Amino acid sequence: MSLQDFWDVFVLGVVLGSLYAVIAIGYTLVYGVLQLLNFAHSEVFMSGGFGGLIVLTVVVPAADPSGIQSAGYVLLGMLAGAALGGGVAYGLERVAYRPLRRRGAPRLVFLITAIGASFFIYNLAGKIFGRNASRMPSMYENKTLFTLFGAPINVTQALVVVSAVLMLILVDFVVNRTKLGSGIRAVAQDPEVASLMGVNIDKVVSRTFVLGGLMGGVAGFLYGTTTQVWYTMGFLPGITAFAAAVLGGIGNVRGAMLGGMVLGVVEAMTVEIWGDAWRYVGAFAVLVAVLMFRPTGILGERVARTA
Amino acid sequence: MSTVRDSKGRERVPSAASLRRVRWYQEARWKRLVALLVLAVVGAQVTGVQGTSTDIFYALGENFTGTGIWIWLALCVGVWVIREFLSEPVNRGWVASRDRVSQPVARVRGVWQADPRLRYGGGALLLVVLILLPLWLSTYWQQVMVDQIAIFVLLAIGLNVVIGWAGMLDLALWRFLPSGPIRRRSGRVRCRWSLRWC
Repeated sequence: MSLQDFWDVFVLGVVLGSLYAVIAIGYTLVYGVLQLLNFAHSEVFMSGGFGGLIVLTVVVPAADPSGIQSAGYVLLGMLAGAALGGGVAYGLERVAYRPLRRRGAPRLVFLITAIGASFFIYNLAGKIFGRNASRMPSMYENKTLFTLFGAPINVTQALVVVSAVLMLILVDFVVNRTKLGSGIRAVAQDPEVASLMGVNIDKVVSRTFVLGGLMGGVAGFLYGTTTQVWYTMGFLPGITAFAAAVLGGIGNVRGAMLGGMVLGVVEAMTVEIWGDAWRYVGAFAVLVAVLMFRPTGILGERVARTA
Repeated sequence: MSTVRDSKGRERVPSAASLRRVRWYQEARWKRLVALLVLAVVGAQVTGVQGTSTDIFYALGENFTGTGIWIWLALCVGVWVIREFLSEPVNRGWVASRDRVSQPVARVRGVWQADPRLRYGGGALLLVVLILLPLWLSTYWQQVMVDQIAIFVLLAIGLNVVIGWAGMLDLALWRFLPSGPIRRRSGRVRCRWSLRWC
């Protein structure tokens, strides 16, 4: 692998990793607040892709748009993805998890519920939108914008990385600086004490789901523009992003960002060196190696409780 | 609502009571109605036509204009009406029929539990029937009993050991399932069942 190849692959890895980082935030936020592995988050991601697809199919004309129009379409797709992703995440919390929380169900029940909800949502999407992949309508001409260390960077890659970084900054700001963020951190530390201090746990949990869902929805839209949109598109990115959240230390937002980036770059390198069949082997080998020496993840502080 | 007199002798609704007062639109029944309407829409999608990827609005259009959604809406609104306005007679009928059934059932259970020979004998009889059942069934139902019932019973027993007794959540246990039927034939590893990841 020459240095040139390295930079090409590195760019691919950063693009992939920034998507993973955004999805991983959804996992890590929910885990932090509820100690719940929300396996249905991959379906939130998928519905974000479909949200963008639905709105853009209606809005985008057949002719290739350009300039300010393209930017508008991209923004509209992101908003639609975020809206549907956030909506699905809210509905999931409301329908699947809140009744369990009210009844104080054991943690295993939450997990099985998450898996069942995930099956239901992706099969519902397959039923409504068909089981083949659909292509996102073309919103812009995907030309090379500039080169970085000789690696060409096209519009989609720049779009994914820039919007992912903006979202990561936004989430970091929300969690560390706002009232909602201090509520989230309080509930994550100790739900009982937080509720005694006047934190409305239901509201915080619900908004945490929506926050993760908004991020996941936008990530689904971006993933859909880089590849295609189909009803099981959430499965593998979801599993990998969950691994990224664990790698960074689950429950830790900055850890999830770091873990996503690391896994994305490692995955791209693995594909380049050993071929596509080894795609997930490298990423998960890194996960195993890190967890052997740091069982709580790279930035994790709390000991991960058993699911 | 009871009223109190304030220091100037005017009648007032106590403030705590006025805060507690539930207006007609704040009642929980409307929430239940909305939930049931959402259920009706989802149910119409689930039982509606299969969509296609070439026209993603096809299934939505069909399902929202067809008769299915009206049937679902009628069902759900009917359930809501019974739940909210007819709950008393329905409950009374339910309790009465439950009492009628539960007394004979309790008598039978008493006889059954009093004599262990009866229990073991019944169990043995059930076992014999299950063993002999495939002889009377068609090939199709024999295959159903093996492929769709017995395999998953075995898997569930295995999961019960690991999750239930050992307390470890083993999501990957069923991936051991394909390792059973693998056999070598002409140098290739083959798999008999076409399970999803097998």
